Amino acid sequence: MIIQWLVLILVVVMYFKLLADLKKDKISLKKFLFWIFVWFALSVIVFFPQAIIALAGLVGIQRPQDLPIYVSIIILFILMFKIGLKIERIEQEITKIVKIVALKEIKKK
Amino acid sequence: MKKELKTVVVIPAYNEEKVIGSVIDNLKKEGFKEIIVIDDGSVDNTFHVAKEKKVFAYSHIINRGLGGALNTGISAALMHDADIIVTCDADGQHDPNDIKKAISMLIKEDLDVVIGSRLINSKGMPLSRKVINSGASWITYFLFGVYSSDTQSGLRVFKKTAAEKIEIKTNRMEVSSEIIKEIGRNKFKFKEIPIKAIYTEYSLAKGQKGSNAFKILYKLILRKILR
Repeated sequence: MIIQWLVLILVVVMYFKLLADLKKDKISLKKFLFWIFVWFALSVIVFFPQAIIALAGLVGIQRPQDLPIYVSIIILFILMFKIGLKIERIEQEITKIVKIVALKEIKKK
Repeated sequence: MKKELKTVVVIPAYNEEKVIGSVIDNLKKEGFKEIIVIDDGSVDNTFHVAKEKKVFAYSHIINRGLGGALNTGISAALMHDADIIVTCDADGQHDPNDIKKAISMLIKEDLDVVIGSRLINSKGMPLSRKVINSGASWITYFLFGVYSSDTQSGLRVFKKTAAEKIEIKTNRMEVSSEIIKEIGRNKFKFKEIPIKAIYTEYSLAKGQKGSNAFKILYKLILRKILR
């Protein structure tokens, strides 16, 4: 099937790009491994669609097409949580700045 | 010769122009000389009213919430070489005499922190508030292992050494519970003292809404998990 070959080319190109990025220190090792895994998973799905069905059955999902939806919801939740944490940290940083500005006068004395 | 301990009163204030003046006057009448007002980015005249009363006033350029204001206030008090730091609400619900009692308790019993509890003697407090406050007490105890009958009290007295060790990270109302947590973490010697709460229509309208309790609870649990 032509789609399989297209995806294969895309994956190979992405692998080279990732490797180049890693060598130039553009991405961290963690991110590198993460994306390697994502592209690898994509190629597995394209070449062996049965794998998805098997995986869905394994986690107890009867309609395999539901699996991506469930997975995306979980990923969204994780992302939301992470963003929440990040905002919290940024708020703390802002407060620090506001405090420094407010107390500037005393330090001069 | 015993050196007199320098007491600094910290008042975090947000849009309190109507009452901040009288709160300052009352404190001065009772002999509190050094007062620091932290204007937390008010949109009204809080800062100028405080300045006119000849107290130290520092202004947040934007509103950061109670936690941020308290943090700034405690740091300011330490920079003013305070030996004893008092925090006090700006809405006039605390009686200056109660502050005096709390300070003398801190000195006499050599404690690190004294918190004024409105709940030991909770006459006059609306029921809904009693329920929320006691819920907060138990949750705080469960999370941080320190029991305080009034975790949301704004009247606190710190010894200098304790104030230096307290780390305030939260910006908003959760700060009251965070201070309880810090008491536990630093193993401070801590006691509560019953205080009167002067509930006026003004202070009730300005105080925490019940729905805030859930927000605070969520943030506290989040914080607990992250540690």
